[in-house]
This record gives sequence, C-alpha cells and structure tokens, in this order.
Amino acid sequence: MPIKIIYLDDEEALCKIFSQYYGSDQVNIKTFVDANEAIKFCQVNPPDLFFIDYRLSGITGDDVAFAVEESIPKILVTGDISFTSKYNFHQVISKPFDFNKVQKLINHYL
Amino acid sequence: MTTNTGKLDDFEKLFNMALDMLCIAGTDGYFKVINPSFSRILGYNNGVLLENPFLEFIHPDDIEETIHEIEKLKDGINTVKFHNRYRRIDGTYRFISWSASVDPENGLLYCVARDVTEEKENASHLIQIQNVLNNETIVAMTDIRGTIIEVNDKFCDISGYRRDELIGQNHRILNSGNHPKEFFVDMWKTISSGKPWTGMIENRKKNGEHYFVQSIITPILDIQGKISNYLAIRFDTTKHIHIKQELKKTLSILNETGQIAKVGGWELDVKSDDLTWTDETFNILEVEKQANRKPILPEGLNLFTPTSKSIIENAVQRAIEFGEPYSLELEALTAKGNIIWIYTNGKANYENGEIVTISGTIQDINSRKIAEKQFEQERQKSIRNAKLASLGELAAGIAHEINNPLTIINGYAQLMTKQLNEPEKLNENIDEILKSCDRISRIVKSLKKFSRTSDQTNLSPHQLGGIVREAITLTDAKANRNLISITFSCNANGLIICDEIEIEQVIVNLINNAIDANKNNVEKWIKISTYETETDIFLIVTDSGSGISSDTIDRIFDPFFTTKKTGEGTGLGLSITKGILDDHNAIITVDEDSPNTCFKIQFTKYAENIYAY
Repeated sequence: MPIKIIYLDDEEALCKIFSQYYGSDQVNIKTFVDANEAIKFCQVNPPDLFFIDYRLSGITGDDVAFAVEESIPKILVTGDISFTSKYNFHQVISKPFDFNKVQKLINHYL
Repeated sequence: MTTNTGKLDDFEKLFNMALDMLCIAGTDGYFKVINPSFSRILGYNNGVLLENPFLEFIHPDDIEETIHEIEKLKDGINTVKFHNRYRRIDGTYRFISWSASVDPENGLLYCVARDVTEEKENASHLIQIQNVLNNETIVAMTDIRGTIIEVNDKFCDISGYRRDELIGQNHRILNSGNHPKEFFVDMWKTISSGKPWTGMIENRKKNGEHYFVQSIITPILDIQGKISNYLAIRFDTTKHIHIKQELKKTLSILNETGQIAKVGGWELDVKSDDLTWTDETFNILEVEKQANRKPILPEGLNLFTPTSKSIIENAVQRAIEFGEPYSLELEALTAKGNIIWIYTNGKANYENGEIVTISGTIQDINSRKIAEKQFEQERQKSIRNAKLASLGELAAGIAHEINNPLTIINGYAQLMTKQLNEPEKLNENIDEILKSCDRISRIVKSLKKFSRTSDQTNLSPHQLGGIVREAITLTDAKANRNLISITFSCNANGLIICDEIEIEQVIVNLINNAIDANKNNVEKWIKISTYETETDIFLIVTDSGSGISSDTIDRIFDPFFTTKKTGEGTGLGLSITKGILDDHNAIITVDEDSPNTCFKIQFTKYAENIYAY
C-alpha cells in the first residue's frame, strides 16, 4: 500500500516537479495550487503526509494547517528568510531544498 | 531885494543859473518870464513856452487841480509843494513841484518849481513795496525791548488777537514755548548787533493753536545809526510744515511697515549714483545709518558676494540702459560680513521719457532659503530612507521570489540526473529551468536602481507601464503578506520624460500607503491603471479604502502631515511624492468623485518627434 502525500504550492512548476521526482509505486503524490481545494480533499482523503507552502494566494500555510485534521503530519515549505509560524509543524523546510534530503524525509514516513 | 554887491546883475545871474525852475506867470494863463531851466527840463524853446497858455502843457488829469490852485493863489493863499505833471517835448510827463505866491498889486504869480519825477518814482516804489509787505506778509514793529508798537491786519488775522490787544504787549505773548531759550538768545544776539535774523518760528494764537512763520527780523536804525526799532516780516508756513510733518509721518509709517514686513525699499538716482534706503534696507544689509550721508551705487554693489555682485551689476545696468525690470534671489554680503540670502527687485522710473531713478525692494529670505535647502536635504534623505526601507521589503520579498525559481531549477537539475536516458523529458525540464532563470534575472534587474549612489536626477524617456510593474515587483511581497491584491491595467504606451527611479519611488510610496491604509480592511485591493490622451499620460492608483475626508485633502501633501499613529509614519511620504512630481511638472490630485481612495497623476506626454531630427 503506497503512502499518500499531498503537496500544496501555488507555484505550478514546483507541483509538477514534486510529482515527477517523488512519485513512485510506493509514493502516491497529489498536488494542489489552490489551498481550498487541498483542504476539501484532505477532509475526504486524509493524506499520510502534507507538504504546505507558506505563502499561498489569499491564505497562508498556517491557515491551511489549522483547517485540516490535526493528526495529519504536516511539513511547512517556505521561501521566506525569516518568519514565525503559529502552527506546530512536524518540520519546516526552507526553499530551495535538497530533493535528496526531502526524499529521506519521505522515506522516514514509509 | 538885497544884495551885498548891490548889483541887479547878480539877481539876473541867479535867475539864469538856478537849477530850479523860476518864472513869473500871469493870471491870464501865460508865462511872462521863465528861466532856462524850463526849456532844459521840458525840451521846448522859450518861445513855445511863452506863446502858449501853460495849461496846454499840463497833464489833462491835473488841469482842474491846477486851476483850483491858481484860484487859491488869487485869494492870497500861497502854494506850497503843489504837484502837477508837465508834458515834455518828447511826450513824456515830468512831475513838477510848485511853490508860488501872488503879487496882489499886479496879480502876477511868482513861482519856484522843481522837477521831482525821480523822487516821486522812488516814493512810489517804496509805497508799492510797503503795500506788498503789508498786504502779503505778516508785519510787526517793536521797540528795542520787543514791545509791539505796530502790527498789520495779517498779523491780527493769523494770531487771532485784535490790534489793541497786541500793541503795548511784549512779542513774547505769541511764544509757543516750543523753542529752547537758546533759540531766542541767538536771535536777539543777531538783531541787537544790527544784523537781520531769519528763521522758522513756531508761535501760538490767542486760541492756543500753533502756527509756523518763516521770519525775517531786521533792526531799524535811526539817523544816528542807533537801533530804534525792530521790524519783523513773516510768512505763514503752517501748511507747508504740516505737509512736511505728514510726509515725515508717512515716511516713518513706511519705515515701520517695512520693518514689520521685513521689506526694505531703495531708490537709485541714475545721474548721481546716490542710493536712498529705508531703515529696513539698512537693517537687512547691516549697514549703520549715518545722518546726512547717503550710500552710493558702488558701495551698494559691494554688499553682495562676488557671484551675486556680477548678477546684480548686470541687472541694474540693464535697468538703467533699457528699463528692464528685474527680480533676483541673491547672496548679500552684509557690512558685518554675514552672507545672507535676499530677494531684490528693481524697475526704472521715467520722467519726461528719461530714466531718472531705479527703485525697488529688498527682502531677507535667508531663513526661507535655509528652510528650502533643509527641506531638500530632508527630501533626499527621506528618499534614501524610503529606498532603504523598500530594499528591506525587497530583501524579504526577494528571498521568497528567488527561492521559488531556485527550488524549481534545483529540482529539475536533480530530476534530470535521474532522467538522463529520457531526452524528451530533458528538453521540457530545461525550458522550466530557463523560465526560472528569467524570473530571477528580472528580480535582480529591479535591484539595480538601489546601486545608484548619486542624488542627481537622471531624466530620460520611459514608458510609465514598465515603471509601474517594477514598483509592483518591489511591493508585491508586502502586499501579499497583507493579503492585498495589486492589479495593473496598462492603457498607455506613450513616453514620459522622467527620472525612472524617482517615479518608481512615487508609485512605491502610493502602494505602500495603500497597503498600510487597507491591511485591516475586510475588502482589500489596489488597482493601478494608466491611460493617455493626446498630450498627457495619466496614472490612477485606487485602493479599497473609502476615500480621503475633504478636510484632510488640502493637507495630505504637506510635509509631516499624517493620519497614522505616532511611530507608524513620518508623514514625509506624500510631500516627497508631490515634491518629486513637481520636479517632473506632473500634477497629483485626489479624485474626490471616486467612492474609493483614488490618486490621479497627470504627466506630460513626451513628444518624440521633437527630438526626431
């Protein structure tokens, strides 16, 4: 049974690359550029791991994190240099990130 | 008849040689005997005088009186100094003074006559002079102690006293009390030494009013040469004095006004180079005012710094030569060595078509100039600060903006190491990498303006749309953070001449203000648009705010005006915005018709074809 991962980022290219890089038999990737759609999807299909970009159009990663089930492990991805999050994320990854390191992180949840 | 010689010849000689006119006339109206003086004085020969009745020689106006006098003689009354006029052969008349007696026995008239024409004329001149003095001047005669013994009507009129109230009084009765004791001591010293005294005296009327008289007081000498009286001749100059006093008052008001308004006046006499200055002009130029000494043009010109001197010299010269008016802001070098900014203007004044004077004003504008300079420095500093602030904004924004494409590049690069055997995928990925590189270089480009260190403006033609996009790039991050959307609709392709960075600064200022004003609103957006007419290009910045209240509209462009809380804003933003736009001859207004907050900037379109050849 592959694990389900959601990647939310309003940068479409990143969504694409994320799927191509990590998508495999063991890892099922679903990406969203629209936060609300991602939230709705989560309510029906809670993922095993949720990557959330912080700066989204009209909403922040924090807001999204608060809006979905608390038990879903969440990883914040951000391009900002300094920021404080109100949500207690499992992990925070700074852009640009090393795809190999993130691979290891994903492997950790396998 | 009695003679010492006893000779009758002696009498005949006396008769013939006498300078007076001697004659014997009959009551029949004819001369019987005349001596040679008759023909000498009247010019006729003796025959004419003897053969014609003497009345024929007499002035028609005097005939009646003469006949009357002869009648009296016949009655035995002697004639003494009876005057009538005799016609000379040349038609002129001579005044003749007659003394005569009649011999009762034969009725003959024995007459002695004298030509008194000259005396008569002299007397007439004297009378005329006396009349003029009496009628036209104020005359008084005093004795040597100053007691009034005679006054004319004019004296009574002006002093308000009746003649009988004055005569016998000392002249002191008119003393106004406004002259020091020495004044009269000096006067008495002069006249008592036999010399006339002239001067202005202030006197008092009977009713207490004062009047001014220009006076000539002269001692009158008796035959022995001793002073017997003093004669005072005076002219009423009260009006003149009042005019002078009014003038003095006006001048002092002018001086005071000048002092309060800090405006000095000056006039240059073109012929003499004399300068007339008001008190404030002396003040401004820190020149000590000296009585009876006027500055002259070269001295006035030396009160400028060398650079300003050549400017003012040229301006004054042109005003004198061509009547050109001028108004200048110059640096004056005061008499005390201080350098101050002054404003001065000048214009030519004509008399009979000729330039006779140049006159104008001078104003101390030093504090204004200094304030202007300080404001300019503040502005530059504030622009720098604003640049730094937006650099800070940018740094934060940039990190995000660059990190995203970097992530993409990084991601594809790593992905490509996995996909080396799938060339069709590689191409697609390379495209994505190049796109991301473009994004990064665009951001880097927007940084270049921060590398400029000079404060010099750099004017060149630009499309407003490009500048707006750059400004949005700089502010987008802040807007995003506050979840405010910025939209831009560009409907102008024409060019404007501007300093790109300054105009970008203006737009950044407006966007930043809009973000600050809207961040706590429910509905928040910023709409920017441009459009053009034949001559102008317009930039409209509207935000979701509900407009600016009309009482603050007038003040929002003032430096340091702000509606933000202390610590949130310096208030220099909009005044700098306006300052920059003023420099660009652009007009910023608040559109009061818009339901939202709406700024409108009008730029003059750059007419490219002007520079085409």
